[in-house]
Amino acid sequence: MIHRLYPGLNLGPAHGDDHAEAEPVIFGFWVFLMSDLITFGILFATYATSATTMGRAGGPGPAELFNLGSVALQTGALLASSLTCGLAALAVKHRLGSGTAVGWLIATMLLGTMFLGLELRDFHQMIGAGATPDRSAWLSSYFALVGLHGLHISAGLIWAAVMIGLLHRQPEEGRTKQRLLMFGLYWHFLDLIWIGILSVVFLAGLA
Amino acid sequence: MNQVSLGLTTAGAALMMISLVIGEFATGGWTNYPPYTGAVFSPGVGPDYWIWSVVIAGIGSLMSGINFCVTIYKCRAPGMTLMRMPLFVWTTLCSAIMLVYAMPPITVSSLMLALDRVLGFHFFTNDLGGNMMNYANIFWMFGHPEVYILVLPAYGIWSEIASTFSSKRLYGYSSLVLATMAIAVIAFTVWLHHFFTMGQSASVNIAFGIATMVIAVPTGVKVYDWMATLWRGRIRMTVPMVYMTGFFILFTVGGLTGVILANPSVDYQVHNSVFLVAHFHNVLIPGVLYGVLAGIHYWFPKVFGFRLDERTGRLTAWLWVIGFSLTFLPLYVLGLQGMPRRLPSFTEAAYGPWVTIAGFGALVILLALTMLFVTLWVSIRQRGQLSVPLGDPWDGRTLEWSIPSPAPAWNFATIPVVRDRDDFVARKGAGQAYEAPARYEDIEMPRPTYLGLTLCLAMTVMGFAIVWHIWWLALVSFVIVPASLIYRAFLPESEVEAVVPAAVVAAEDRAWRKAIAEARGVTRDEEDSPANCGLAAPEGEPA
Repeated sequence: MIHRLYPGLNLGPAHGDDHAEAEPVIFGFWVFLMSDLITFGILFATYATSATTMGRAGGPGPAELFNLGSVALQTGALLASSLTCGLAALAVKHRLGSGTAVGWLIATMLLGTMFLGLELRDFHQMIGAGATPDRSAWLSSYFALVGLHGLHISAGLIWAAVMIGLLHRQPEEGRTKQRLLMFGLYWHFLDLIWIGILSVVFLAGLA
Repeated sequence: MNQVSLGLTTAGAALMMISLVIGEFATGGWTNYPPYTGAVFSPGVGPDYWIWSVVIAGIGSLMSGINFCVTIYKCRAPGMTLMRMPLFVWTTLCSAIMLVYAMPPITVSSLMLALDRVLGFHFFTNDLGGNMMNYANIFWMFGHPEVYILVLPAYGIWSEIASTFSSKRLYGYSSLVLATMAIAVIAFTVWLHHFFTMGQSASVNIAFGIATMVIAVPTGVKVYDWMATLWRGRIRMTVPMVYMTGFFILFTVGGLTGVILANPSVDYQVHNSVFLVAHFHNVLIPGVLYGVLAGIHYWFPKVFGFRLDERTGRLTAWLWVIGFSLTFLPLYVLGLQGMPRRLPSFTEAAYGPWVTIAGFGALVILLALTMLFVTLWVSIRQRGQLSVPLGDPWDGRTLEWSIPSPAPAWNFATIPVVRDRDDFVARKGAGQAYEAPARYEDIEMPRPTYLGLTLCLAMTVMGFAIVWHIWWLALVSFVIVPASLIYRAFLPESEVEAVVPAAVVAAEDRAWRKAIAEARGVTRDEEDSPANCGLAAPEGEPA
């Protein structure tokens, strides 16, 4: 095995072995994220091709449907949750006790839940206004793109809950820290996607 | 992760099999093109079975892709630099990279079609802004790289076989690596040639047509490299070599007709005709299928500990080559005569003789397929005579031949330090091939687990439930997936991994080395005789 050390969390007292084990796992997760990026890329492309007069098929458009205030709140909650997620990782790195890390993860979950709640409220209002996904190609691709991000966030919330359980049960195991690293990558990645959605869907839609 | 990938691929296959008994499969053709496969024109379950088997098996393929990339990038033995890797590993790496990028499009396009069908979305419908051309685009963004995902590993197999069965170092190793990489990249820029006639502008067609012609160049480089490898080698016409000979001639024809089809103006004339059918079978059967069959003959002794019978194997290979030629070469003529594909019957008299030849060829292929099972049957019955427990029946060049056959669960008793591209040859030349290691260490191995089987069953049931709109069952079986992953996360490390003690490894390894010391090596001419027990006698490199 070629030993290259992973430059992330201090994974154990004996560093070497744990780092060598973390390297392929974390790299593999990066590769998965690249693949997931393609998934989102295709949905972005589909959205772009349907964000036209023809794609809206005479149905409601961004100007009638988007609530930029709510979107701003969602963006704030999600970006703040990335900060708390990073603080959880730092708490593990600087050995502030698994309680501190769990606290930051709970904060991350709360902010994520707030994001998801606001997003669902927006969906609900749009559907109430007759803007259902079967109304037009544009709305289909809107719900698919934003909805897939929302599903990722939901999966992330479940993952965060599992991480809290793992930090509680086996805080010192290298595997737990590896998983925390991966969770962090995943959560920040979703931020990145959200910035794309904010720019392409909401800001460009209202521009 | 390996096990889960296999489990998901199996689940996809299982769904397809179930559809043969309960319901119907893929009533929309293999590409499942909308709007015909939309809910309006195809209310049945045929497209749904297609969608869910493709999605589930696709997730399995994606995971395999990630797994292979990471293993090859990060888990190589010391000294195994990238440019010392066997070419089969290179082609596997490129295939794996392509899987990572090409699987998401098909998963997304299939799921979008499912949303169209089940929830009334309008991605690919005729009305309310839907655009079915998006489907063709996204589908072939996967579909074209996919044919190279199939053929690249076969190219790797050909490279290993050419070098082993001519006892020569692979000719033009670096150019083969570069060609593989070039194919992997260009493969993503040619998808549009699957629908030149869809109505985009001529300049778009030209760009994709040129890219399609360009991709033939690295492929040509490879064929020349393999031929140069055989040149003046110590060639043995074993079964894989018979396949390779057929491959050289037939695959080149298939490649050349591909270059013809790459020209959009020619494509307009012959598209949707059996000329096209002849072309893609001409590359896929001699390229991929022969490669896989040759690879099975080549590595079978490594996996199961005994060789496959050469006599029936050679007969099978000849039947494949003849059967293929009789079946598909006439289709070129028929295509140029204007015969469309997917024709249930015809009245044009000029087609008659050629169709008859092709029909006869299909019978020969059926015979070849039967002979494949006969080969397996004969070999299993004679496994005593064919056994090669010492591990090196073909005077192998790479390190997999330096361990017993079948390989022990831990593969290498001690991790080798690699010094050469054909490391095993270098060791044999220096007389160090079977030196016992100074000491053995404990080996950490994953424990057997039911995770793959659980996910396989859960996803099969989920796919079936979604196809038939049994939503409660779909939900229950889906929940099993995260639940079992979370359960596994909470298992202590000792229940996930086991340690094989050094003493066990040492005992097995020493017994094997003792058998080698007592055995007689075989020359290249004796490779297909019962004297071959997996130890090669030195013969020296050919001039």
